[in-house]
Amino acid sequence: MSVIFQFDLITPEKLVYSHQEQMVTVPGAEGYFGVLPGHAPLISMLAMGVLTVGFGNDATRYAIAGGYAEVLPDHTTILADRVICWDAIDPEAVAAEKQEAVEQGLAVVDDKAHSHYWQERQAFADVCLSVHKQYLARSSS
Amino acid sequence: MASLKALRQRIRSVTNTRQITKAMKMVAAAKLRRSQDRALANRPYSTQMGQMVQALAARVDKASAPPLLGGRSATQKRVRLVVFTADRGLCGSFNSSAIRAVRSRVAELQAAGAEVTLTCVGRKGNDVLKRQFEEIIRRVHIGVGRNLTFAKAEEIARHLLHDFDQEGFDACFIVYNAFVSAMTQTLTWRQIIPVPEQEEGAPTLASPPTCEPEEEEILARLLPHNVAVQIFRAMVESDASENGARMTAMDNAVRNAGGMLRRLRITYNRTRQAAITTELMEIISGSESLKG
Repeated sequence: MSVIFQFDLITPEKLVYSHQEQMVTVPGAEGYFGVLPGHAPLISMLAMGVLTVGFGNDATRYAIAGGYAEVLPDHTTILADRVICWDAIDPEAVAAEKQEAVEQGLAVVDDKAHSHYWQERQAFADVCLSVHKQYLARSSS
Repeated sequence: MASLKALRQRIRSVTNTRQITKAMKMVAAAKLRRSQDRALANRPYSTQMGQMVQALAARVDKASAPPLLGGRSATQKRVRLVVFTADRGLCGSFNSSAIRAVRSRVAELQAAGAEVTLTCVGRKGNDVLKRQFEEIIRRVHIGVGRNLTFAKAEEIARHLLHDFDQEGFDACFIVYNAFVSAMTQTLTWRQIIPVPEQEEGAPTLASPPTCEPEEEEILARLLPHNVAVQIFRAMVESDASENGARMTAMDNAVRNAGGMLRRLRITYNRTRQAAITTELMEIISGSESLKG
């Protein structure tokens, strides 16, 4: 059994990351799960949360706004709706986006799907901010 | 024969046209690079998504499947076509080939007794199609080319799914120019609702995976998402094709203008020469007659 597997992180707009990895931790819809080489085949929906690639101090984290994971023994693919690497997060831009999402969300009346959309945007902004904090904490330690 | 002055004006105007087409070619070439990258970057996602949908679809019972997957009825009595064209012209047969294909498809479907409705993405398609099909165009999305984001695709998908619930069409097809190279685009029809059966020989997942949560639950979210993914794919492919087509068309135009200029210059010089010769003849014969 090999100790690494192919890991691809894809969004509709681009191939974000593709590399051999030892471990990733994925925010599944029914709770976080870790993927190691030789994992049983699995298709999972993802919740909004933090995707961790690698482990320990070398880990890279991504804020992810949901999507799908397809896990095969030697190959894991994450199809993400939106994803930001923790070193690419600009807290000011995220805060502005959150502000906008809050305002837009309040402006929507009588449209559940639409107001849900803005709530998700707002929640994603929160995730981004918390991931960014983790990033700062790691860089300073 | 045209007068010298008319020829001079014509030469000047053709030179200007050549300048403009050359500039448009440069712009298209620069844009092509970007949109080509985008179209290629999208392919892994949409391919993977297609495989995943089909892997899941193979596992659920057709009869109890949601309408987005199984369709509402076996016959396609009510059909929606989504047409992707450019917002602007001057790109060769890019728009017209898509429009022509839609026209003949609509005629075909209507002859078979189906009720057809249209969604136009891109101004050009709407401009032309509304002359003939105004009453069946349900939605028009303009300015997509300037806003090629997944969010835009989701918006179009949201409208489409809203119509799917309200009007209850049985099937939905998209038509767009798929990007092959800067020179070639292939017009592509793709069925997005219901999800088409898996093609023979298409790659499948190695072993039936476990699903988390249940297949039905994943499909309930995955299927609408897949519609947006397919629309986004058509958007970026169509955009890359448009710039490729425009670049090729403008390149041809520059070359044609060059050829035309060469012919005009020859005519101009001949005419000028003829005029000078005639004048000389008149002067010489005048002085000859004075001598005598």
